[in-house]
Amino acid sequence: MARKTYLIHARIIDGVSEQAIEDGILVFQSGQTAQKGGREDKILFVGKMRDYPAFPSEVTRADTVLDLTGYTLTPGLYNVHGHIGLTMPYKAYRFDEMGVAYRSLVMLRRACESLNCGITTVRSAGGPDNIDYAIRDAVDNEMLMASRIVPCGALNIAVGGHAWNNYISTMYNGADQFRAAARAELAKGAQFIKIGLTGGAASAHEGMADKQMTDEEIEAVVEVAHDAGKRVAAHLGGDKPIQEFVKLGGDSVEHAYHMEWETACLMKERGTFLVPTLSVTNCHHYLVGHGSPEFQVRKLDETGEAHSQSIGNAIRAGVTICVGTDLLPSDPIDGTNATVREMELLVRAGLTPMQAIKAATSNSARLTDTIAFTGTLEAGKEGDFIAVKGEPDKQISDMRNLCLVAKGCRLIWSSVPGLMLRRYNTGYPGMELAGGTYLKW
Amino acid sequence: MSRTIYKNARILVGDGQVIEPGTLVVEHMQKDFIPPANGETPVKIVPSVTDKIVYLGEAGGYTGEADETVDVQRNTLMPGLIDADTRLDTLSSAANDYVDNIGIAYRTFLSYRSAAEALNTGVTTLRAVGMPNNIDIALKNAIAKTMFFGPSILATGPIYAVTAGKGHERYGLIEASGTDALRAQMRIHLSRGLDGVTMQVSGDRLGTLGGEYRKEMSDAELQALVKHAHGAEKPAAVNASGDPSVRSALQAGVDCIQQGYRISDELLKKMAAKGVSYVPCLVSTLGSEIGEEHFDVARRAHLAGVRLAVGTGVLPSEPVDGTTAIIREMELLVEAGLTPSEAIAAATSDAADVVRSGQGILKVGGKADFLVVAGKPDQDISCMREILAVVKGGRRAFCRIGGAKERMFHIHAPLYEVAGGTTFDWTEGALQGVREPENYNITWNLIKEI
Repeated sequence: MARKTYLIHARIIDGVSEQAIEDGILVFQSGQTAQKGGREDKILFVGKMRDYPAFPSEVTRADTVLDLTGYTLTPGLYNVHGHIGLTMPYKAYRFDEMGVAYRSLVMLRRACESLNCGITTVRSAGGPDNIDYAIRDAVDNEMLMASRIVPCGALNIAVGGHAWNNYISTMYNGADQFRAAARAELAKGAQFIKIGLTGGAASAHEGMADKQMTDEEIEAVVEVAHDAGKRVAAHLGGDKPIQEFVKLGGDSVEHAYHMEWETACLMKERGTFLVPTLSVTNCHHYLVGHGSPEFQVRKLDETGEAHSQSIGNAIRAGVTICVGTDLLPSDPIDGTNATVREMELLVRAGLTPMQAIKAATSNSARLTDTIAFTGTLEAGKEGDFIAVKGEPDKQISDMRNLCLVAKGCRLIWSSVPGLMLRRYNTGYPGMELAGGTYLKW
Repeated sequence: MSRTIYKNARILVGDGQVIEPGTLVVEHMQKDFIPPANGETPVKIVPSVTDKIVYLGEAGGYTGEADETVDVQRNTLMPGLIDADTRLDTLSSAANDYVDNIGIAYRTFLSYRSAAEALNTGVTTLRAVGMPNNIDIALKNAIAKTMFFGPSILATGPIYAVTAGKGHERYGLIEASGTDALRAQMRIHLSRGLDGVTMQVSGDRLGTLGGEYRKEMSDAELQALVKHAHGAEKPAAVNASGDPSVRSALQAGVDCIQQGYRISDELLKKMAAKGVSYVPCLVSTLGSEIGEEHFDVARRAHLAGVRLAVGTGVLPSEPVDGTTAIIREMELLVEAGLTPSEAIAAATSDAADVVRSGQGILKVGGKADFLVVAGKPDQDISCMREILAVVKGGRRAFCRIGGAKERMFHIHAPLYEVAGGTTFDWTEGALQGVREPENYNITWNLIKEI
């Protein structure tokens, strides 16, 4: 027996339309069976109030009706470049300080925090030991609740390549080794393959645009992934490597610190996705506050301007932009979380607020191949959505006023007057489920 | 800092005292992350919760202020339950496999889910037994550091057993032969922070010798391990059944016998005289072919004056006979001859002594781990089937007193019960033993290369 919830008089951004639906209604049903009830959970209707004449006559006693006048509903947010295993500061050496079991719990906690922040899907940006797969499986099997994880396993890099000193990568030499690595990740259920194609700010002695993988190695990964119907994402700093990656068939460019207009046009032409992660070149105080190594702060500070220009080029060229942070999705920064702040930075770089919301929802859903069941607000979908006070499609900073989170048609929490509830707390009752890298685990 | 009063309660303190009507007051203290204002940098903290009981006594004795008052409505308030033998990663029987078919990370999540279920069934402290890959230590730390809510966990690491000993096809054993090799394993695991150790001495029943249990571990090996554990001031528990094994364990000086499917009266008397405890885990053999004999050992142990403590040997939340394994175990002890009060002590103060948790008795200044149970469980143990509230470390997981519907702790989506034990097959859809390529090298350290 499923019961229905009616969210009425809401502005609705469905993630598809150019305009928000004024005076909209979202109807969803959620199962009441104790376990595996998710199969009954789905969105029944999204549209204007006047197009749903069955309201209020069909409402029964068991149903919930919530007036959302003054609030805007959007699909649950995505963060498609989230390092949920991130600990700060970066170290100059590689050592597993936490062990697999404890690190699993730390990463799960971050996935719980992300959900609390309205980020219902996180594309993991890489980590060894199968932890991202395990969170995905635990969430999908309904063992635990957290953000949906789109895993890739480890970040595959060349020996001594980008982030060799971080506990996120595994290292290979030669096309055959990369091919074997990609195959192993796919066998574990990787939903995409991530490679470290150029240098970056993680390691001391690499340039931001050094190409570290050979074309043969890149081709090998692309071939294996595409044959399995999966995309390839690459950490990319420099213009020329981006061009080469796109020409070799790569699917998503991460960061793009330096990218010229022609390359941006090529991306547009090929339909390549771009995950700008502007957060990472706009977090000086965050890095310094965490005691980050000097080289990292300097490199990212120096890159800031070029990065903005690159992303500006991409936006003008019409490249498909997705939201990723390179930080923890839930990391507190500038009075909000990293994911919302990234949306603000994208608006500053030239996206309209509506485009920024699409970048964080439907665009990212297409990148992660989850568009079939979520990422937009349409009848039949799983029902990942949030409500914010205000009109974020006019003023992006309204995304900060998060007031309601639902995943899979289950209300996680709501501070909307008329429905004050918190029905999800993995932490100690009375404590915040927040803090990100500011909690010393 | 704030306070919560639990008033109008019938309090079982845990040391035999009953306060009726009584009041218990909890003081809440926490260090939590504070979301910063726009432009401010957050402060890095180590979060903590240090709630404690500040008053315990007659109803009229507390006059201070409180931010919240909970009317216990004459129900019984008693110390939280302790499970002295929990296998947190218990999977369905179909999962017996030589390969780790779910991986460390997923096994960690499974174990956390089991711990959360245990808390929902009234277990506020549990001793995890047979946990490979430091999962118990990770869980203990994550819960103690307030990363996740759950019962306090005492870690014992893997079970030390002989090479190819009983259960070698399952995860959770460390197998070695010889005193040096076994001691080396114990040293490694003790260095990671254990609260106790468990050895497995007995194997399966033999086809000869009247079906006696095979003694797998040699006297010398067991003595070396027990001596080493005691040197590190850790309690030593052994899984032993049958007189040859139990005699060897008593000679080695162990603190606790677990399982004990068969023990003679002579040895039970010795256990009582030496102060060796017995954690039978009756619920784990309930209804099996050895169940009756096992149950009889518990009955005779009680008559011989052996101290019994509650352990399940499986998941505390496992559904059994219309209740959970932990509650069923208490009922079985009553059926074996303990009074309801003694069975409650076996699950609280006595179990606390066995696992050395320092909990089990409510006291001012102590940790606020307690339950509210309908009726008088110290007179009728089946009252334990109706747990109305669970408070762990001062924080309420849920409260159903007087029809309240409060639920503060959720690891799952709203409307989902966190219960069910092994009735769920969590292996379905999980990672299935994929081997990494040979060069999948996560420990490669270039600093060392140079």
